Amino acid sequence: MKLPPRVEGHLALVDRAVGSLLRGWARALPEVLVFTLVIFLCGSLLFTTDGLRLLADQTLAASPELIVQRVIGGRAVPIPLTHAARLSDHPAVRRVRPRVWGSFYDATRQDTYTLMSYLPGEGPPPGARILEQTLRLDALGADEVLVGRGYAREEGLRPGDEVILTDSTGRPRIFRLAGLFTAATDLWTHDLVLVQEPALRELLGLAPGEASDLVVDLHAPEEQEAVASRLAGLLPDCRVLTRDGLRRGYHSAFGWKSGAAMGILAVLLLAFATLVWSRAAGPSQQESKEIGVLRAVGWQVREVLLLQLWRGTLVALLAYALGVLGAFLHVFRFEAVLLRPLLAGWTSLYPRFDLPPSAPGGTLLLLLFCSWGPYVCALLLPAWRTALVDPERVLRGLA
Amino acid sequence: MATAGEQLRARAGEPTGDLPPARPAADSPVGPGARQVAQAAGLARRPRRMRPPRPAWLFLGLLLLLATGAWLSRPAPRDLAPARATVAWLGLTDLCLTTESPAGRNPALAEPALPLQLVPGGPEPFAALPFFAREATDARPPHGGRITPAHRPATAGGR
Repeated sequence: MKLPPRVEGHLALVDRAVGSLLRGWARALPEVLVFTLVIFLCGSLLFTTDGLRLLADQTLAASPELIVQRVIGGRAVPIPLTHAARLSDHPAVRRVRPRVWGSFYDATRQDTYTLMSYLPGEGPPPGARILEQTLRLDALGADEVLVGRGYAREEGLRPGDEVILTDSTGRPRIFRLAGLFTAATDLWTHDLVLVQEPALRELLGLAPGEASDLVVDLHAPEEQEAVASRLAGLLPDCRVLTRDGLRRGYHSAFGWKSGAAMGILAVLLLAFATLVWSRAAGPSQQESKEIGVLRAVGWQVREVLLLQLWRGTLVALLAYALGVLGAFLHVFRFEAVLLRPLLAGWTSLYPRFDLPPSAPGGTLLLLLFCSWGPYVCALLLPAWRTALVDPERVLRGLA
Repeated sequence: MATAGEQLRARAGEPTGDLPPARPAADSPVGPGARQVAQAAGLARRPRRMRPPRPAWLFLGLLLLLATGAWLSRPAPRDLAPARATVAWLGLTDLCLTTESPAGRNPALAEPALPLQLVPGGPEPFAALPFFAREATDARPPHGGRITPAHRPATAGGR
């Protein structure tokens, strides 16, 4: 295949750069390894953070627009159901649902589980595939519970087994496990124990006229911030959280944690910066000699710089490809096992969940230019200085 | 007297100019073993050596291989319908990624990440608590805080 002369010229330069790298492999290999490690860790961090943000966005889209909590002394306390009636009267409100929830600390296993209630008449939409068995929720008894897979695994439970929960007076209450949530809902239900509302009220010691908080659906979800301000004025002892606020909260939390993790990686970044700086400070004796020889046999400065450009590009591209591949495998195949505890927070029951494919072109380009750019500049600058010197002086080691 | 080139060829085992031209032996009709005989006699055609590929193409191939691996390791799009149905049904707002025990439930429960969490500006372990909702609650703090005109009750003749 006949290639245009310009392409053929660049291919010849690439050939020469590959040969140069293979000859000086002892110097090139550590650079590629450090470079790959930096790309791998930064890529894993960015992909995991982006994946968690995307996951939160995708699922929070279905959550209620407003959450109303009663606050006394800065702490959330049960809210009277009369507040729900007052909120329902607001013209922007479509529906108000009281939530009854709490937590159960299992001192034996040192795990904290989330207890939540549902009304027997209100089930999930048909065909939602959120439970492993097809159950009729309205047919479940008051002593039957549905649990997340993490809870069931931790307690070694199967459907039909007994579930023992302690109520607010310290008495054990025995329930029967009716079913499990599917793995597709793990991120939300992993530590969840779903109990019918009357039974959970007894467990938590919550009065019949109270709820843990209220969730509010609006006619116009895009006006949630404005409606939140109005409702906060309506209920002076409450705070109103918006879904967008939660979404921003998750974003900032993952961003904060990502920044903290980046701080931990700063040592590695510093090592990489030192490597780049040492390259920028001046070429090695072997490289100076190579440049001197090329200049002595008639190479132009431009050609020498092109050769160095290709040399740096090859190292950067190889490290980039290796690092991105490693980051993809780490994040999407091995569930970001190295970074998840840092980014996802701490809990005793980590859910297993697949991060969504969230490697946007912007992140990939950012990684490429943040790695390729400084490295190639660090190669070109000393090569340019050396190429401008008389080749004889370079070959004699005087420059 | 052999030339230097002929001496080098002879040392390398290649036919010199004195020998007859090599003949094809691969399809010899005389049967198996003829090729070995011909090679021993130096009559077989020298196997043609392929031109080695250019290093540039090899490098490009390596990059393509790695890019293909990265592409294949991307997960398939997930079915979010069950998770969304659960969230909508129960009105869930928090992912099961952090325990909310230090701030939302029992402050006495210690956890390893606690020193990093309960600090000013630190991430709140329970997303539905005030750190994340600051913007939503700025309009009217439940207790105390700065009083703005929006907080003042409207008078009978007011707006």
